[in-house]
Amino acid sequence: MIASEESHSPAAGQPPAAEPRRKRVRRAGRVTVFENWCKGCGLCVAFCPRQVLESGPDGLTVVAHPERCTACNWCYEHCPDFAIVVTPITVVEEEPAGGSTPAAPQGVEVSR
Amino acid sequence: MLKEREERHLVYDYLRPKKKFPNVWCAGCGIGIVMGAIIRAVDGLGLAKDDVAMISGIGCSGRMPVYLDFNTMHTTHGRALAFATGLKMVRPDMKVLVVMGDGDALAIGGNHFIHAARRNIGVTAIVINNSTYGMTGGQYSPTTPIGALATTALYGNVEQPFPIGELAAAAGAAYVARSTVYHVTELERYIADGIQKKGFALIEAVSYCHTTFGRLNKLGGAVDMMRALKDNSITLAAAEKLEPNERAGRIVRGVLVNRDIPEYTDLYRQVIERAQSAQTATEAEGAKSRTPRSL
Amino acid sequence: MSASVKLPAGPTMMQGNEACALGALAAGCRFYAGYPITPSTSIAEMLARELPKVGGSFIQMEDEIASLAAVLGASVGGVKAMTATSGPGFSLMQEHIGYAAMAEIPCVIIDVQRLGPSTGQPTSPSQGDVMQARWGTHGDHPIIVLYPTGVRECFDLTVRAFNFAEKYRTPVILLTDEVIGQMREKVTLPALDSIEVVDRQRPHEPPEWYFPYAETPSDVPPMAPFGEGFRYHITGLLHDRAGFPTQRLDEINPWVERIFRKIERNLDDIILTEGELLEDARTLVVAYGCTARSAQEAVRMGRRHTVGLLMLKTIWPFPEEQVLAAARNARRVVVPEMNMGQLALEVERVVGRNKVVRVNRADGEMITPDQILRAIEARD
Repeated sequence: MIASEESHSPAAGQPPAAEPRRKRVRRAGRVTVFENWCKGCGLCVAFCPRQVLESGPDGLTVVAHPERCTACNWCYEHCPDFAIVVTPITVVEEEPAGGSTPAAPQGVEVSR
Repeated sequence: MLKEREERHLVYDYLRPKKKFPNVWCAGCGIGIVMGAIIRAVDGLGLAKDDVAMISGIGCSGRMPVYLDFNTMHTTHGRALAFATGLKMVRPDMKVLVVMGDGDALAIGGNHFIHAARRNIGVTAIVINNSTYGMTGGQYSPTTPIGALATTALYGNVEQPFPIGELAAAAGAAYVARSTVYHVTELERYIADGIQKKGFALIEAVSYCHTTFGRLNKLGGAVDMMRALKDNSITLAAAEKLEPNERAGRIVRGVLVNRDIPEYTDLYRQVIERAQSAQTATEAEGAKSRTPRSL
Repeated sequence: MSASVKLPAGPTMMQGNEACALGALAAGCRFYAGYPITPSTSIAEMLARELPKVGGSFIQMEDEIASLAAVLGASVGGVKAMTATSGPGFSLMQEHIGYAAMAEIPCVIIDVQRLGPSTGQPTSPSQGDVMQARWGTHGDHPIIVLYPTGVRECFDLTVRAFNFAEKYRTPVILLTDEVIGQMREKVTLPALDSIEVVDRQRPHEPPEWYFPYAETPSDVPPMAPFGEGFRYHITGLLHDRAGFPTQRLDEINPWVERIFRKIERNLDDIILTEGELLEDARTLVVAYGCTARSAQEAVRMGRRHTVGLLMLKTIWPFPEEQVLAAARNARRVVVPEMNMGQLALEVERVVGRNKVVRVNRADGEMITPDQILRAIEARD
């Protein structure tokens, strides 16, 4: 993986910039649902510790909040139909101020 | 631009592509979860698929082998361990997995269960215990809790349930472990350890049948019953600290037995050696006695 | 490393059960699973002693149900396997006989018949399991059932039983009875290397092309053993050519037809009978097992009545053509059996009820030559 870089020196003549946020490296997951195998049992939706998943209009699982995935693999290991896989990825992002949910990391493809 | 590790969905290496997916089990059924744990356990051990046999009995659990690219056999109700004994005796080098439900293994199969454990035959028995006969609609089984409702116990079950793990342990099994389909990582480890163990390994995978038992006993759907597995189970270490009445109704997870005792086919190999050396000795004696005395 | 089978050379006093055990070893049987039951136990005891000497395996299972299950597991593992029992155990084995027929797994089951029903009389003979051998397991299935009349035939027909099982991918039942099994006769067994031994066909094609229940010109698909690269599925459910369960009529019907056809088109090979004095027979005696020995004596005693004898060594499929041919000129067909009339039903079906005279007893005693002779001599 490639880290994005940022300059730390303020430009001349400009007012002083805000203190830059620190970077962190976070384990994450890219979640893929195979709709043709998903039976909509709802286990993954109910037990995902980060509420990444939701039941769609037809009952099948949708990856509603892909950015929240921490690759804990609960869904992958518990799906009785092998209809959901988690590809581990590593994300580099700004540390959130005050512990809010991180925005979608830069340059990372998220899947539906 | 971030690169991701592309992983092929592991199950594609182990599922039979000619079978129809998704599988036949109800949405949310724990049997599929056990199948995934078995796949990951076998894969983690690096076993060759040709060396693995899976034998099942009758019931929802019995529908597992057909999906897996091993040497598979779907046999008669309760007798999978007997079939497995014959196969293991002529192919002791193979890893023989035996998948059964609680009714298959402990009711009609009860006798074969205790004798396979007694012999310590080197097969890995995985009993998926959902406390019911699911395929036939929810009759009570030897592991149905007292007081529970079933289609053949509409006034409440009055039979004491078998403690599967303790039964196998008492009968002589080398390895006995219990987990649940909620605790699937632990379950996978127990299955892997059981496969590697020399001797009879019994892994009880506690599951649920929301379609029959759950509906009849108003226990909710798959999500509710999965949550109950999480909430009602405790580790063996924690259980040992509790009073019996505090332990009642809890699922005790852990390795009940792990001992090194002679495995049946190893013992029988010694029988063959004894028989053949006795034969050689007899022939030598016979040859000696036929030698003319003048020599 | 295993020693080879040693057969006794020259004339030897031998028990019927012993001859069955030796026949099994000569045919290549290397696995026995069974349960002790009178009067078959000495087969188990002999193979418990001899199998490990030749690198084979013996196991005493917890019951007869498990015994036949273990036999089938071993056969699937690529080893010729058998069990032996008597009436009560034979009843227990029925489900797995059906499984073997459905899954087309070669195996040999010996039933040393004793007087029944139920516990009956363990040390007395009968021929009461003849119909059970044909139809004891549920559902439509073909079966091969052989029945020797003496100790040498115990050896020969056990070898045949294994060969038929391997050739036709079917369970084969060898019926004997407490007389044939326990009696001793002087026999000279053939040399081991002179005995024809048939092994199941293995696939020539690579695993990805292999279908365990494919339609083949011989109607018998090759059988790959487990663990040698052919990973396939075996089930007791109705299945397609890959062994997967099916409910399609266009897969079920051809399968049903094929498993019957694989036997019925090979009757020339499977039907074994022996005739005595058939040429001008006006009275025919049709007999089998220990009763055939009494019948031989009765026919000799009654020669003045131009009576012939047809001895059935194959009981099922029923030797229709042979019985019809032998009864061609006969006014009367006498069928002595140590039961209340079982194979007589088949004879009646084939030659007509009017022609058939039954001689029955089901009390544990052999039918005497005199009893048969009286039936030969009786006028309507």
